[in-house]
Amino acid sequence: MAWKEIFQVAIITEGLGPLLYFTLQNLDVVQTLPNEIHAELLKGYHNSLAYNIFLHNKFDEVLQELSNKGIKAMVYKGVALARTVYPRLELRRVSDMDILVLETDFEVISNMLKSQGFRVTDESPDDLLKAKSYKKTFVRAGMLLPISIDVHADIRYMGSSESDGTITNAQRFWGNALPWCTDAPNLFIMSPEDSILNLIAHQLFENNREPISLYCDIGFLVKQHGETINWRYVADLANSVPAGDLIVAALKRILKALYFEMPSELSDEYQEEVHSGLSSVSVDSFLRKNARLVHATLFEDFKAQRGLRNKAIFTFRYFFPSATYIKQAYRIRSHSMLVIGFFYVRRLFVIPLGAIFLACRAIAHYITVQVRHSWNKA
Amino acid sequence: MKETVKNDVREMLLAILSANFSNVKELGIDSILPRTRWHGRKSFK
Repeated sequence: MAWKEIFQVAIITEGLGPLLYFTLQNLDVVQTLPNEIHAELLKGYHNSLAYNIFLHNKFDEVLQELSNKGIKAMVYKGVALARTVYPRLELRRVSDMDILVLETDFEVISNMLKSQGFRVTDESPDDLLKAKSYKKTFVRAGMLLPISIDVHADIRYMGSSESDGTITNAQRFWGNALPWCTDAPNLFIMSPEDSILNLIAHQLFENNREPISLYCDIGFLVKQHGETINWRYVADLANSVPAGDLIVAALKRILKALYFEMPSELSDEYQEEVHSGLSSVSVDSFLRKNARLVHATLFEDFKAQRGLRNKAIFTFRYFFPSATYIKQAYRIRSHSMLVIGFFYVRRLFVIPLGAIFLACRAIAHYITVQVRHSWNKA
Repeated sequence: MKETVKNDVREMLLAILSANFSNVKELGIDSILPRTRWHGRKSFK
């Protein structure tokens, strides 16, 4: 077996060394590994164990403080998965802790963390008007490792906060949340259904990748919660958000690759039934399903701006955001104004062209649906 | 590592890790190999 290559991808690219070692141990094939690979995997496993115990202890101190103060917090992503669905703590790589809090508690928590020695490293507003920030990253330098905590007032991976017009994403997550443990009634973890959708949307739309670690996260979530997962909720919510088709397609790929039985709600028949219902508002639904998520969110933010003046400022900001935004959005490391200027110019061409292309596809789609409809009638 | 080789390795790694979720564990690692395109290749080089 080409263990060297597998080892390289598992450890360096995917960060899955400890889980690979654990799996091979369960398959009773660890002894057959070449000595140096075995030694490296074992070393990585022990490092991960020590690192995770240290980090989780530090995160627990923060959660304990939140619990003592009676502040509601929902733990999700890495820390929640490592503690609740992975067989062992060290099997899930964790670098920071993500918590969702109530918007009204945002300032209280911010002050609490600052009093514990944390400082804010990322407070960039999520909207282009620089009006609102849904996330703050707090970091505290430590003797051994820095401790990083992302505090969210809303999670916008699947659209803006009022994507379905009736209930915000955050309200939905709070409504579905599960208790974290019995002795801390104000601490919660995200429901498996919301976790599945958020994990996929986060990787696809924020990181533009589909790593094997995502497969493992979903795999352990499904294995742990098994029969209790409400797949109808998962399918319907995915179908109601922009780019939901991409999320469902990724979820089906993951379940197939891990040999899980495909839930009937994710079957092609069910999806076709849902989509045939949507085709009555063809162009709108097409745009919602095919536009990049960022554009759909942006359109909703645009609609939310009151008055022509605010809409005009919003549009101007969209084409000419701050240099910090450009650097973050295009992951530019250079400080050169020439490089940043290039992306401003590129933005001026790429955005209108993308919009025209999408509009043409939507119109073509509308015509196809109408032709098919009249053909069926005939 | 070439992109095609990297994809094959990813597929192999995923197949091994899928043992955590299926009955592969009972069947042993030999049952994983035939499921991947990589099966039969002696080396990636």
